[in-house]
Amino acid sequence: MPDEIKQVLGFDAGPALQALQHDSHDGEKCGRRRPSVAIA
Amino acid sequence: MKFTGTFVAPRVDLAKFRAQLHSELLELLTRAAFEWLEETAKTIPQWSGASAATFLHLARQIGYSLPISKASNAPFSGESIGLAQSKGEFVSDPQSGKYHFEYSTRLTHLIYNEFNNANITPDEKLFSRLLNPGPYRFQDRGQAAFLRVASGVRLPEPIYKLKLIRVK
Repeated sequence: MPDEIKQVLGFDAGPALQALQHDSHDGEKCGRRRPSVAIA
Repeated sequence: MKFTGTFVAPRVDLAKFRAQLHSELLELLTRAAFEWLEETAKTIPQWSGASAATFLHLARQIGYSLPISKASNAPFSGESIGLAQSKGEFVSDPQSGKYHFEYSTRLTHLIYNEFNNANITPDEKLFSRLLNPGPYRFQDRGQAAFLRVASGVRLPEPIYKLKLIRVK
């Protein structure tokens, strides 16, 4: 039995932000993206 | 007649996008935490209230109403014990785009009942007969509730900064 229960849940928009920054000069590439879901 | 003009291609306004992203992801995270609490809180039976009280840190941060009640045959209220044996917080980093909430507990009998049916496999240090034995599996239920919210999440539309065409 573990001493502790810990749950971490959330969203990571980092990769999408980086891609958007990279594509920001090209409007056609900037569609809507999904954040990845982070679970620990 | 002679016309001249300047056309500048649209560019994403990243500062505005980040601000909108921050606002929307905080709202979504709050909604996801709300659903997580709905699912987990109803899974945990209340006797002294200690186990349910471990969710209070998170509940108070998002204004979720979680009444803690002590059963008439419980010798004490466990609310302060549950609070002392748990943590719950929101973490957001707009720069990296990472948003999450955390829940943790070291409340021994809650951890035992999360994984075991104490009426069948009692822990001698903890055992008393339970009306609603485990395994609670509240982490699995909470995660499933979170994923239901997350499945519909989209990032906001990028905001384009357009420069006006100047015509002479």
